Amino acid sequence: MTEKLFLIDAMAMIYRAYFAMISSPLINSKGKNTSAVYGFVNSLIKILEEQSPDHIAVCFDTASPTFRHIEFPAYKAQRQEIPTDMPWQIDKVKEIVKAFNIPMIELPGYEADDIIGTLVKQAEKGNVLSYMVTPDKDYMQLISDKVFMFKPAKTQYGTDNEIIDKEGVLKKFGVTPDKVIEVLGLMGDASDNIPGIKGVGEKTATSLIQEFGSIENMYKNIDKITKPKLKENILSQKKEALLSYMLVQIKTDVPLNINFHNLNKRPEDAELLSSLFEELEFKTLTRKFAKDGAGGDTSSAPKSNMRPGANAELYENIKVDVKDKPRIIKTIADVKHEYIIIKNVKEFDNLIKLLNKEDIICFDTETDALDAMNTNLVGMSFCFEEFKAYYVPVSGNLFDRKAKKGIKEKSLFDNAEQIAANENSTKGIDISIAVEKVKPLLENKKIKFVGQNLKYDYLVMRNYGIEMSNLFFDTLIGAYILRPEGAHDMDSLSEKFLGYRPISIKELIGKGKEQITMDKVDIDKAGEYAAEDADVTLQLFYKLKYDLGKADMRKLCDDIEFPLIKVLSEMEFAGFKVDEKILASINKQTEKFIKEYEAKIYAAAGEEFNINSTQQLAHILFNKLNLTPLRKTKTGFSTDVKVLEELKYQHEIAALLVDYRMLTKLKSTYLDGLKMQSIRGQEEFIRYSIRWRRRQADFQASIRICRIFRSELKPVGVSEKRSSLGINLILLCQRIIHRSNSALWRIMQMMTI
Amino acid sequence: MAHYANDDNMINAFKRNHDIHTETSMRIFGLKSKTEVTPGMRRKAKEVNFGIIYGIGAFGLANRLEIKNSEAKEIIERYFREYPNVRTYMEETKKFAHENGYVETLLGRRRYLSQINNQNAAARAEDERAAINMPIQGTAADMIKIAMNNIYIEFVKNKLESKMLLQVHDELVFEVKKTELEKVKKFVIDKMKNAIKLSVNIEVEVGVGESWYEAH
Repeated sequence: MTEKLFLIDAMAMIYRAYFAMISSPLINSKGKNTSAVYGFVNSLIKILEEQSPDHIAVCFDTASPTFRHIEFPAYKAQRQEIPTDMPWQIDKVKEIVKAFNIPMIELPGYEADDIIGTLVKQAEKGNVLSYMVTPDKDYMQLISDKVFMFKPAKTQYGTDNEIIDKEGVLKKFGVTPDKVIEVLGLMGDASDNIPGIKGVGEKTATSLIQEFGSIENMYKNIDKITKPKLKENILSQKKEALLSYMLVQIKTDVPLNINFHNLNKRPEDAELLSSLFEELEFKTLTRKFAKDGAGGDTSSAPKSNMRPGANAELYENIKVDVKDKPRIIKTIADVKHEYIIIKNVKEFDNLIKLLNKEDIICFDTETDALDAMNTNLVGMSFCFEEFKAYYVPVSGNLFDRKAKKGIKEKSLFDNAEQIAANENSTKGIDISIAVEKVKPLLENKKIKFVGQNLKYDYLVMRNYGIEMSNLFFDTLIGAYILRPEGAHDMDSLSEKFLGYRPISIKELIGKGKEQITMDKVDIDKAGEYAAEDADVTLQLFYKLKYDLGKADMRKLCDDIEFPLIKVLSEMEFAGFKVDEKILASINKQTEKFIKEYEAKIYAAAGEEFNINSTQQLAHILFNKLNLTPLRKTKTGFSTDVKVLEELKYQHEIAALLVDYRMLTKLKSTYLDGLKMQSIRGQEEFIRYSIRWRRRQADFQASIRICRIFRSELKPVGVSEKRSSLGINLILLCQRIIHRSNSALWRIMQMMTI
Repeated sequence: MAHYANDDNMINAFKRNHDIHTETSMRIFGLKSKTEVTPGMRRKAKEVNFGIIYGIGAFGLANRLEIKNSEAKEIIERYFREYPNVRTYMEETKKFAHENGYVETLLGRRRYLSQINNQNAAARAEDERAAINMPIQGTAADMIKIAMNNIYIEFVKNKLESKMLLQVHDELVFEVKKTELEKVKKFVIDKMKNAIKLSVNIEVEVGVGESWYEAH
């Protein structure tokens, strides 16, 4: 039987794992990056389990200079210093390989490539297939009928090991393996600082070698090269080409005194491995090698059917770049669940009784608009145990928001047919009864409420006169604290943390022009969606609570972030008044400024044109005024702010355009935006909402005006007699835009009221 | 910055209640007395004080102040000579970020820096700037949040009708009933000053008026 020899280029694999996860590295509870060890170990285990090699060794580079450094001192000299969180990971890998009882080879003065080259050439003579485990294309020169390159899948979820044989080399390089060094010699290798010939990339190098067969032969027939520039480069850089040729050549005659037949894995020290993995916080691996885990190769059954949430502590904090992750994502069809729709008041009473006994409840509202201050409640969902949730649809509008807005919309009665068809199902509990019954529950200080973006639900209920007391845990904010980068909407969090894809809102209400509001959705469908939301949020809560605790971030959440939800909600609920006269005055001045800038820009251009048309502007800048274009877009040359900022040094028009853009933005975004809102709502109150900025631990205020409900149920919060708080718009805009936007700042300084 | 860098010159300036921008101005322009500081010098010093926190370089500072690169470079060098611990803070923070892949505030709020060990110098530099800036800005954000929580508790506890309306960077805007003004002023100042204990005192200014503009 043919034997299999696996030789692993350790450093190449460690670096690859490190950079594969660089955008979202695996960080353990001590804040240490463990990506490289994790990636390496998983590849190693996969090879052991799936490839069952007869012989195996892990080869390392050493710090001593090799013949390449001696011949060419600049070899690899451009390389950045080794990342500081790397050396200890390399040491860990060595410890782990040792515990696996796999032979390790390193030899001062030689790189792993040379060791591997020597061994595969030795093995080639026997009845052995050799696999060089590495992502490095230089190895292709060694490939033959019996020698292959083996590129493991980049992440643990990938299954696509890549094995490159002779045909593969031909496909990749356009030449056979023995010609690979000829091509590499011509093109050089930027990552190793091997020069090659200037101006010769992979394509040119390949076609030259295809034509001439070798570098040597190319120089003999130099006159056959017709392109003058190329010929000149080749002639002037003969020295570089020959040097590069020598440097890229992998040695196959390293004095090793090792016979590959002796490269055998012996039984691993499972106990040592388990403790090493425990220290690194690789939980699955720790268990895998733990004493009672049967040890060794067969106990690797993935615990994929583990339920999230309750068992969260068993979960490993695995972070892999999402795009590399062909993970199996479950949906509602794959999970056993019980979602109950409350059809009448009696059922609701029973549910309230049940809920009152609970300590922690996940709560979620369904509404017919996104603006919490201007929406109608359509339903409420509750969940206190995983995979079981309740949906309480409500009917009737206390505020009749749409009628007041004067916007013609289909009313509920337009759907009479639909309602008739659904007579058996409920229309929902009358809104005033629902509010009355749910109020004591939500205001009960002893019950801890959990939700996703609780500020929204708080404000919705606040508009019905309910002040939720104990906002205990917000999964949106918790996830943001744990991992500020990436999306934090519930669907994304669910996929990321639970491996579960919830029903999408688009499936329910459609999108674009065809979109309907939540109150028009069939109650059974809405119920499944809404109950699932509460269920998923509760599961997220358990998972995030555990992760935050492990990362030592619970205090930050419990002491600052979660109490702040109510504070911010109450601020948003209060709103503030805007002085419309000032708003109008600023608007007028801004318009005047815009006109002035237009005139100046026309003068600088020498003609009138549509400044807002990027095509006309590009024509003026790059054809008429002959400025140097800096970047291209699909349709022509870019005229964005960054480009204009740089063009400032070429022509005065660019500076004028930068200011002009700022002014038009100020007008459209802030002034017109505010004015429009203020006309739509009769009362002159600005409401503003505070969003969690993605990357900074800071708030960003965005302003909008909404009208205020008038209703018997309206809480006393907003007094009609409140003293007028004239907000100075300039001040507000200045503060919000901040000084980072210096051009706009300058303009605003010039304004007077 | 003074707290993080634990720089004697800076802390003493705060302790003596000196205006930090005037102080920096005297130090970087080599002046002996406050009276020699012109408004222009103070403005420049302010740009430097904030610029350093944002991780600005000579080129950036030159741009902001509209001065020569060489002049900006010299100003920055003098700044670090006068406040040596600021440089130490910056170097140590960068080192921490390189080793750990993140930085954090006094209260453990983290920011992960995915490009901090990037081979590409520009990408790395951007994360290094963020590394220096985040602990300071982030702690400032933590402070205002804590203050807001504590102020809200006071409003509820005292059953006041006045309200907190807006938070804009380091500023809070309230709508206050005249009869409640003194009480509100007192606890707002207290809660803002004492949100987090630092090695320097926090100054709080209060303005009162019919509108936000008037209050300034």
